[in-house]
Amino acid sequence: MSELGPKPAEFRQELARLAASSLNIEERGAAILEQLGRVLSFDVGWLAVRDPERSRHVPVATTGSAAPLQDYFARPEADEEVDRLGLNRRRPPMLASESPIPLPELRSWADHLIPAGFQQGLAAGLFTPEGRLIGSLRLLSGDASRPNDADRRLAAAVTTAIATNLDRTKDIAETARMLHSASAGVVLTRGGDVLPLPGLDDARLLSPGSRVLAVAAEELAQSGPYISFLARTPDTQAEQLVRVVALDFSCQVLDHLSAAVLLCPPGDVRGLTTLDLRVLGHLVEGVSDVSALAAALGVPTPTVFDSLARSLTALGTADLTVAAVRAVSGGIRLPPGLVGEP
Amino acid sequence: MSTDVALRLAEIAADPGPIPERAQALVEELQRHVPFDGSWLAMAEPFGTGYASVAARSLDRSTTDYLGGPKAARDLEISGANRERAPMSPSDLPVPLEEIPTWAECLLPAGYREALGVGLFAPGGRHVGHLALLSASGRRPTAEMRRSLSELAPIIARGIDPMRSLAVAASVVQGATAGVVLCQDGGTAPLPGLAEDALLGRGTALLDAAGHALRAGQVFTSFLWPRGDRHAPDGHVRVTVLAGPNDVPPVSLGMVLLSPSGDVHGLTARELEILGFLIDGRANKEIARALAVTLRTVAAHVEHVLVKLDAPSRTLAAVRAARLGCYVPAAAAARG
Repeated sequence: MSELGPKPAEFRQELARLAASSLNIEERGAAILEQLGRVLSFDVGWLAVRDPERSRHVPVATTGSAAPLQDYFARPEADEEVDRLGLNRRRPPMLASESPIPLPELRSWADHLIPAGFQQGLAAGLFTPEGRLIGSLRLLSGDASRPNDADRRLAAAVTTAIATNLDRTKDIAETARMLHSASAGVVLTRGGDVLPLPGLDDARLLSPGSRVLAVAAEELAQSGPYISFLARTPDTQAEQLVRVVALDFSCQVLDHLSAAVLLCPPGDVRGLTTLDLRVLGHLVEGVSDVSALAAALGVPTPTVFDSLARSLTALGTADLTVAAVRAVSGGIRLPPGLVGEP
Repeated sequence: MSTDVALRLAEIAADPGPIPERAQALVEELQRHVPFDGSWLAMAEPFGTGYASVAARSLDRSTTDYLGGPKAARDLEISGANRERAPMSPSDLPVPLEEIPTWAECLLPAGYREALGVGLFAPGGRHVGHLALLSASGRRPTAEMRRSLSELAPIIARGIDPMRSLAVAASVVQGATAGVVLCQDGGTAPLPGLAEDALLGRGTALLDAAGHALRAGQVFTSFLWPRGDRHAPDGHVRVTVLAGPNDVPPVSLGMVLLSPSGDVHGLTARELEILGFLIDGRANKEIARALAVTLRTVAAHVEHVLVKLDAPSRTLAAVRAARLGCYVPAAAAARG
């Protein structure tokens, strides 16, 4: 670090300041390019996040005349060329002059950048400390001598810090922590992938393909941006409950991250039994007829009567509709979709 | 002060995680570069005048309790150490240590003779907290130490700023245009980065409804609120109420955000009101009385609501509306 002189340290300090701010991704991106412009010489700066599920880059900030670069990345074959150059893998930033493929043979340079008068450039994949690809940085110059090797070293010293700034899972984790004392959590992607949340454990209940994740995703699709319900924890003899909370974080225009699913302490279930919570789970899905509830749960009708009476008392109402609303908003229910979990 | 220390502190300040964890890591890191015998890092109560200890080094419980108490807060105020200014020592003051209650009653008995303290402020001058470095030797802090602490104070402030997680969480609500922090006592404070709104003034029906949801233990609540009067001549605004943060010390009850109403499933202003009553479990007769319309009109509205929400029953319509946040709370309709 120190052989690079004070520049990268100051720059990284500024990047840490940005990461601790409440600025959004676009604002951070613009600030990062501005800071880069103070220490590196380039004509065009372009910073993008990558959506691996749509194989495309979404620019969050640009400086200079970035149109030729924007045109190139708007083309469907761009991601494939980025991949061919090895830039979607963890590696040091690459100068255009060091490209393993001659520039005139690359569509980016042949069709877009050379005609626009660019002579040199730098390309860097942005990886988090855990090695997840977040996005990409491109710098372009009409001067063949910049960016040079020293510039490349400086860029290499800051790419991880830039990735941290553009990583939305960090903000998602912070929000999860603010709202709930979550013990575990994951991020769902639009395509159904499951990603870790910084600082939170994953858990068996939240493994890819689990019933909990399926129910959470299904319910979010029919709700506002927040849902909460109870689930039974596996691996324990005694009945133990855990609260599942799901929060919609999708930002369609930006990336593939869709929702956070968290496991939290169950909170006060007001003395209700597992059966009561299952009855409430059916009730909020519209099964309010006692004999239908009995059939759905495989218990005698009088048992359902008793259970509903307990729930009404516990939820502080004499009205089944109010009970159903409170069971939904307080997450006091075991969804029927969890049967046969995990 | 080398930029390396500033960088390390800045990186710790940017770490996600609970404030007390970050605070302790900041204090430990600082100790490695600025030697002192004890340290105390405290968060200014966002809506009060007191402090809450968030990290300490080499201090026992009774000392941190005293420093987080009203007497120490008063001494910090009298000495001006709670203002945005250069770090100061008690020896800068024209008063002997023995005459300052915090020193006489707490720090001198604990074995400390000198200190260097600095108020911690967020950009814009919001008071975030206080950092005190304590020394047993009684040697006056050097000019170099003062300069270092002065440089590092904004970084440390960032690490313990409770408004940060609120602002980050607020960004979850897409398109939020206005928002406030709701304090435990019912007062409000501005939310960094968001505008204020007349609907969010102290004592408004909307804030009452939000406070009610938070006190009932709701972590996340969303509903619609009419702009203008209850007939919503200017349409509806979406209200999102988020509890927390779940930090120690408790900072606020939660926050209230306003954003565009979004998809209302074709429901009219009157139907959104009816749904608020259904969610409250009101019978048609009560709804008719509250809205001063006939029973037949209410029945017709309920019919339309069931169709628009594709719900075969009142219960399911109420559950769907609650889930989607697609209703105007009865409290808004009742305010006339």
